[in-house]
This record gives sequence, C-alpha cells and structure tokens, in this order.
Amino acid sequence: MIAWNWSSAILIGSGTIYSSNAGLILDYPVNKPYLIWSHTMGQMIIFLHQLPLFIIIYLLGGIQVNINMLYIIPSICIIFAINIGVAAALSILVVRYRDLNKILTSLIVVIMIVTPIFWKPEMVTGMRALVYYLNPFYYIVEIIRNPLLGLEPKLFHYVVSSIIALASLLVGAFAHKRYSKYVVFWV
Amino acid sequence: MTVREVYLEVSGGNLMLPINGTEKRLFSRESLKKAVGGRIVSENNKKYVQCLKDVNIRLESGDRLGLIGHNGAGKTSLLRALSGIYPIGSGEIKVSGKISTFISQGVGLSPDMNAVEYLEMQCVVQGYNKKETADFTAKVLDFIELGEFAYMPIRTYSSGMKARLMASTAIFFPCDILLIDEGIGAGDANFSEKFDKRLKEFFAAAKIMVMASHSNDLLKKWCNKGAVMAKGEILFLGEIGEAIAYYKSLQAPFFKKNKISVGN
Repeated sequence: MIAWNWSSAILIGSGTIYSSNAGLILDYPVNKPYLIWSHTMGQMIIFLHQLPLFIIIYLLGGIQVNINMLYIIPSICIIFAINIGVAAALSILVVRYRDLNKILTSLIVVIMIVTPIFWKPEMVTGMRALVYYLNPFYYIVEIIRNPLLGLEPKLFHYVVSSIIALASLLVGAFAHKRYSKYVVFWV
Repeated sequence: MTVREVYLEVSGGNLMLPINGTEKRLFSRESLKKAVGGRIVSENNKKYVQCLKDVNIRLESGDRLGLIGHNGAGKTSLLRALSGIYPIGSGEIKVSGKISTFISQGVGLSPDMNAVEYLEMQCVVQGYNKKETADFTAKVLDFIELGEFAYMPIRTYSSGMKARLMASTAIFFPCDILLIDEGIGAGDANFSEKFDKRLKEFFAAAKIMVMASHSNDLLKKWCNKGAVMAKGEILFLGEIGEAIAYYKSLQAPFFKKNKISVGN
C-alpha cells in the first residue's frame, strides 16, 4: 500500500507540477528539470517517512529481519527513476491537456483494483493472470513489498521494473526536450 | 582585466502565442481579438496572438528604455522574450550580461512560509549557492526590519510588511540588465524613503534597464529612451520625452472621442 501510494501520488501530482508553479514560470526563466526533480524528490521523502511504520509491523507481525530486506535500496532507486520519467512526461501532457488530470484521478482507482495490492497474484490463474502480468504497477509494488516483508525478490520483477524505468526515462527525456519550451504558453 | 561589454539586441523578433481550445468555441474571432488586444493570426486551423512583430532594438550600457503602450500592446511579452521566458518564433536575441527580471511581486510566496524561507526560495530560483543565499538573506532581512516576524508565517504579516518583503527581494539581486514591469513599490509610507534610496542605487547599478509602465511620470523619472508599442510592433523608438509625446498623439483622437483627460 505504501509503494502504491508513492507511485499513484506521482501519477496524480505530476500533472500539477507546472500549473502550480505558473507564477514562477511566467516571471523567471525557470530551470524546468529542477521543478520535476523537486516534486519527485518530495514524493520520495514522503515515502521514506512512511518506512518506520514497518518497525511496528515487524514487531506486531513477528516478521524476521533478514538480508533480503536490503533489496529495498535498489528497489527505491528503480522506482525513483520510473517516477522521474513519468513526472517529466505527464507534467507536460497534463499542462497541455488539463482534463487529463481528472481522467488520471478516476483511472487510478481502476488501476488499484487490477493491481495485486489487496489480493494475491496466486488467486488469479490462467489467462486472467494477464491482468497483473501486463500491469506495470504490479512489478513496482512487488519490488518494494517483497524486500519489506523479508521475502526473496524475483529477478524477473527487477528486470521488468528496470525496463519500465528505462522506457519511462526515455519518454520523459523526449517529451521534455521536445515540448518543455512550450510550457510557458500552456500554464 | 577586460571589462565585458553589456548589451541586449533583438533583431526581427517575432512571437506568436498559441491560444489553445478556441477551435470549437462559440465566440467569434472579432470578440477574441478585443479580449487579447493583440493581432489574431490563424495558421493550420489554430489561433495565435501575434505578441511581437518584427521587433528590432539594440541597447547598450547606459540605456534605460521605457516601453509605452496600451494593455495588450506587447510590453510584458517583450520583457518575457528578452529574459528568455518566451522562446521567440523567429528572429534573434543576443544578450551579454546577467539579466534580472521583475514582472510581478510576490512570485512563489506562500502564506505558510516565513520571510527567511521565501528569500531562500528566491535564491534557489536565481541559482545561488549556500553562501550567496546566506549573505543575500541577511542583507534583505536587515533592510526590511521585520524583526522576529522574519521567522513567523507570512499570513501573520500586515500588508505593509508583505509589500516590504516582496519589493525588497527584487532590489537586492545584482544584475547587468534589469527588466521590470510596472515599477516597484514598497507600499509602506514609513519605509518608502529608505526603499526609494535603495531603489535608486539598484537602478543605477544596472547597466541596461527596460521598464514597461503606464505611468509617464515613472518612465520620465527612470528612462532616457522610449519605445511606443501597439499590437506587438514598435511604432516609435527614440528619446523618452518624444516617445511619450508620440504616444499621446496616437491616443488623442480616442481620448477626445471618449472625453477622457490624457494627464501627465
């Protein structure tokens, strides 16, 4: 749930990066990557503040602390990279098409339902398993959840998450390079 | 040591501002034109306001240019283009020197931050390092005399205190080229004398200044050159007194028709 909160906050919040800084953008030649960086960093700091909750969960749930928990470090790095790319692309797309943020807010509920957050992937078999196999949020949630629960992470999840991170960075970089100069006309 | 030449040059500057979402609107092209003041241009089924049209200016050290024109004439757009906020569509802008832009007061101000946080945020925007930020913050805090209020939320400030903070922030950023919209005012009568003295020093330190204003008094006080703008074009460029006279001559038929006194 914590991992989900982090990613969904990026999806919804990215749309307002430029509109909430419209005054700055219209009055100063602002370094736009700085706005994306500060938003993404802010969301990560919120996520890190939630991690101490796990101390209570470990104490109450009797979860053994083990070496697998160290995998949380690469997981955070991968998700941070995904978020940078997503924020760079979505911030531009939403500032151009303002209605998109409302669609994203509605869509986020649907994505949460089809992502194994409140249900286990083993509960869905056969072709229906595509619901989570084709869902990028499944991999993002898994690479955070497994280390936090002390479970051995799966290499496949890390490979797919890394590919998502690379694709997101490429799309974000392209969107930013191609369209960021027009943001001042759209805010 | 060689002294760097400071200049600001625009040649053939054109700027088209896209107006999104008007393709299927009910209001007509004529009503849109009245609303934005500029020249409406259609290209590929999209509408644009021509904010700047073939603008040519070269300013050198010592030049103080006043931009004169009605609302929507292109004064603020020109300031934004000069500072690099608006990317011009065609033409060229050459700049040598550090630019400081002051278009509106209190940008980025949040009622929950305090004066120190506000000043630090302004330094981040300017790209200052930690030492520069600390020096700047100390200098401005000393000037605005907020006392203990400097560490209290801005929502607890009086309007005079807010005005002091916002206006004083701008006049402590050193620059070679100053681009300013509608002047700066501290608002507080007790503070204004001290503020005006600092403002004079600040304006004098800038090698080039471009000021857009509707106040002829303000333009005469601070500028030595004037540019009259209408629909994104520079109609007249010359000495400030002549520019104001030219602008008044353009306005005369309108004011006469509407029985309005020109003033100044």
